[in-house]
Amino acid sequence: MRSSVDRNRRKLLKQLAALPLASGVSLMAGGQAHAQACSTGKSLVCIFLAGGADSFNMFVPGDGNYDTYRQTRGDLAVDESTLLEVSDAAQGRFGFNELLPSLSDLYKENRLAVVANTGTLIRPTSKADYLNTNFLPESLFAHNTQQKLWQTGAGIVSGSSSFGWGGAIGDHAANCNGNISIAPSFSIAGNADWLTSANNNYISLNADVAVERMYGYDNLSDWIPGSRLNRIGPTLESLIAQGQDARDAAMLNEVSSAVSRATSSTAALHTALLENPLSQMQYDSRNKLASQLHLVARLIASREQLGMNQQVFFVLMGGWDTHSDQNERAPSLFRAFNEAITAFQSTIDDINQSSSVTSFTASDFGRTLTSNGNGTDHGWGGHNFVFGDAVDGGQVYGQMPSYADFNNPDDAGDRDGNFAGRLIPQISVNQYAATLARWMGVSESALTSALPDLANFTQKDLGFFRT
Amino acid sequence: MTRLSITLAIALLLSACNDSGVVVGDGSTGGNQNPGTSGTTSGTTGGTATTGGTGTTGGTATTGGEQVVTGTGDPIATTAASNLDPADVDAARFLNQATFGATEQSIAEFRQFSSKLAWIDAQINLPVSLTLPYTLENSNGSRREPRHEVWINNVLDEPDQLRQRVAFALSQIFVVSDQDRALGNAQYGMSDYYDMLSRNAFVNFRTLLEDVTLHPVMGVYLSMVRNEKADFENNIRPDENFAREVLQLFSIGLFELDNQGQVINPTNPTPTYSQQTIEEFARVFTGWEYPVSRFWGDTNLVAGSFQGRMVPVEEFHDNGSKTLLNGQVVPAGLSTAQDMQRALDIIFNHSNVGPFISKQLIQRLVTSNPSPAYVGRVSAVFANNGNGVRGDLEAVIKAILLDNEAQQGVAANPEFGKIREPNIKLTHYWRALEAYTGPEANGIHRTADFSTNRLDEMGGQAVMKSRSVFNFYLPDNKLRPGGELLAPEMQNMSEAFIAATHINYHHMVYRFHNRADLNDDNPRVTLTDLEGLATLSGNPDELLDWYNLVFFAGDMPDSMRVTLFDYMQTLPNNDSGRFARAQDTLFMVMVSPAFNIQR
Repeated sequence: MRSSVDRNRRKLLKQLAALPLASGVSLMAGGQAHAQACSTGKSLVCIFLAGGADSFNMFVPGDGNYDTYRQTRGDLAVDESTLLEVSDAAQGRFGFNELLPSLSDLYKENRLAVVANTGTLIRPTSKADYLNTNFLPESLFAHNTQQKLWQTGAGIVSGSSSFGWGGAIGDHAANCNGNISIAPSFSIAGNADWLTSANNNYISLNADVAVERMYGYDNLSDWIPGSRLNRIGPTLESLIAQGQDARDAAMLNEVSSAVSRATSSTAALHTALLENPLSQMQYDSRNKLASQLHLVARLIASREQLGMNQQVFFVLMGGWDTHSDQNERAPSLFRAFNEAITAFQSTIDDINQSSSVTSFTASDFGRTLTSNGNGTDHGWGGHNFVFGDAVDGGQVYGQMPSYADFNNPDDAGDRDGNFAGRLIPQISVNQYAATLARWMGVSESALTSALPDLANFTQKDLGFFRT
Repeated sequence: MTRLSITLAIALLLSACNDSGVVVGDGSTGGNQNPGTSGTTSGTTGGTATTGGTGTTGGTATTGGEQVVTGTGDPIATTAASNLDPADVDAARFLNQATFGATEQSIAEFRQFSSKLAWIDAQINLPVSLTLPYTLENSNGSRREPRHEVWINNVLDEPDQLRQRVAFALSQIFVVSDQDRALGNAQYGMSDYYDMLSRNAFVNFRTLLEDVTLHPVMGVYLSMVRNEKADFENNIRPDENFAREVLQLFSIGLFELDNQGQVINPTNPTPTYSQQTIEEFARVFTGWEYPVSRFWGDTNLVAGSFQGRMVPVEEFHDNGSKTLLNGQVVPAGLSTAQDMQRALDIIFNHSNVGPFISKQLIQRLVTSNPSPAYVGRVSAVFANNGNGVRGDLEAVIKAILLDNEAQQGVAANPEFGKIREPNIKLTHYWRALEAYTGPEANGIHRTADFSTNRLDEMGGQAVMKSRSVFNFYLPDNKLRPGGELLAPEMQNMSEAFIAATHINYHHMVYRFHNRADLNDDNPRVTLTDLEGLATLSGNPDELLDWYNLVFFAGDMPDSMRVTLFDYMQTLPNNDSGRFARAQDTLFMVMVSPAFNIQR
């Protein structure tokens, strides 16, 4: 049984979705250029590995560099014989961790690229800059600060560009989508600085909440007689409107708007999701990343139904802060990550959206190359992975860092010359972000304002998309 | 009662002139009904029932005529002004800050005390409600539900409310979580950690900091247990995990603060420590082993390993000299325990600790955006309790709750208030309605699906179950991205959580009540008796007064009162109509935007 409120709402949404783009309101400004940038459906998925992923053990140098890696990492080193070997035309042989065959396969199919030694940087930074603390990102090595700077592309936490670069992509996607009531940006992992924007809110869903309960008060109800249910809905809407209009009550205003967004978006999403179960996506139900990506896949499958052209997604996998028992923790992390990627990408392939969906990893920071006995501490630069059919894969972008524990030019060591094992990134988040945003069609002017520090780097596009 | 708007007051004056603007109970419900749920609470407590029927509220007297609003041509009923005893309102607001939700009974009990201070002193002297005995009895160490069951039961029903509220706040500052894979099977340890916080709610901060530091659950969570001195040959350095977070999250934060908790020179702030400082602290915190262990690295960890205090093992301790905060040196040659003591002393005496911790405690209990002066007043008490003692948490808690800003609310600070924590919203609902467990629930309070999953669903919060050491939300989370105002709990107001919260309260109000059919799945869940509210709804103003006191501490917006009053007019004033009025308004109150704000 569905309430008539729901039927009316769905009807309204269908009507909204059917509106010709030209009749859209203010958001539609932008003209020809935008129309072109919006011409095809696209979805971008950020997979955030929270805690600081040890990507140095996910993608390992081969050839002569393996021994250096082994020497520096000691007991943490992945055994060479277990690596899934791949190569890069310019930089030689590498190996993916044996527990990450999905990444290795996608790489070999030329639809996964490795972006080497990436991290928060305000401008190109040398070891001397580090030692003299010149233009360093704020509070290096602290989780929450580095997560925020990764996701905002900023060098300081509360500067003028404290909104997320995903938010800038979301603004563009909202323009593309025209006048529909549902935002194009989704976090499936709670709060996401990456998606914040001055202009648009993002929708925050939770894979742990059953879809049946991801639904507002105007739910079908077997417990409230229809005549009352039909009056409760409008009465609650009055309470929400009153809260939004209340004077001198900023907190109430904001909460009311959140409730309003929830009630206006969840009904339509609920309907679309129920109609796109994508039950072919198979994974262990305890795999939290996979269940988040399942929801993403279902929303991608619902693109047309929701009247959306473009979408932006944020998912998050925790547990990567492997200070202790890394050799016990890492395998289960890698297995779960691999299972999620395999299940997700094959589902995307299955619904024929491989070319329209690009996914990429990000993390707080890389970890130390050195051990703390049975784990690693907070580092700085780390490797990341971008995949999808639009990606010009089978290559490593950016120079692989030195793993040497002596005279290492990439090491953010102490002033007294001790080896720290924290690598200074050679690629800035800003460059990574700009490349991804440009694929979605974000304009250069929007990029400049979202990523002001991009101007400090010569190479403004890392070139990992097919042209 | 400072919140009554002039507009409404004028409307009420007009309505009072027209005494036909009256809604009345039918003969069976007029008069002085007990608003409680089972008739066990005193009818003299609420200031709602007792004053609602006295005819002082303009047009709401239950002794008025028998007019019915549904007939055509009848006058339109209008709501009366909220009619609450200011002392009750003051009590309710205080109890929302200091307990897991005000109730009629707790308001009445509170009013027997001569002062807030007397109530606090009595609370502090109550026995500590523990969680470990129950967990030991009901969990095999891996089963997680018992820890949540006993927590819910304690905070609902046990008298040491203030201690439990402070302990819950502390658990959100000194965060551990069994979402960590190494702690999922350490439920005895998790419970012991929570009990340690409960016991330490009113002790000296230095004692608390040491008990947190040495608890094996913290040792596991931030990997200090079995942290070893460096082995440079093999590129092995001490673990920096605890060293970093004890500074960043548990004591001083990232930047130098003034004594009002504001970052000094915010455009170019001074870091409180460097990476080098972290590495030095990491060396301090080496050489600690599980309390019950045959030898360093023993993998056969038996019961008790995760309880109590870690023990020092000198062989693995780095006893060289270390340079800690602001150049303070701990000399070489000290023992594992001595190094830890010196380091904690140095942290404890850093000037940031008072403002940093005080502000977060204020945010958990009272308001998200305390004025700098409020933080300053509490910090001053942290620095010196009046007897020359630094870090006296009892004095700090008193300073927080008894401060003029906490008591005067928006009158003292226009930005006063906080978003209610999801768990405390639920406990408030259950406490206020004297919730009781179903006949097959074995005395355990439960939400709809008999597990703790729904707790998470209703706002992403369940005790010591956060995603990371950064708690369920950050203390500096902004109300709006890019804005200035803080609202930590806003971080969890996601679409999914809001919708799921609505659905869950919907189930609780419409399925799990005293008239429900227990042949359904209800026998194991928590139920509420809505008869008291139904009776009150015979006179809608009385019910609204009850909500306004117990749930809103007098802060229910006037427009909301009008809307709910009008809604009740659409339902008949007979038995089933009154039950429907109670259910529908209760549901709408629970999911309303306004009830999310505690002021």
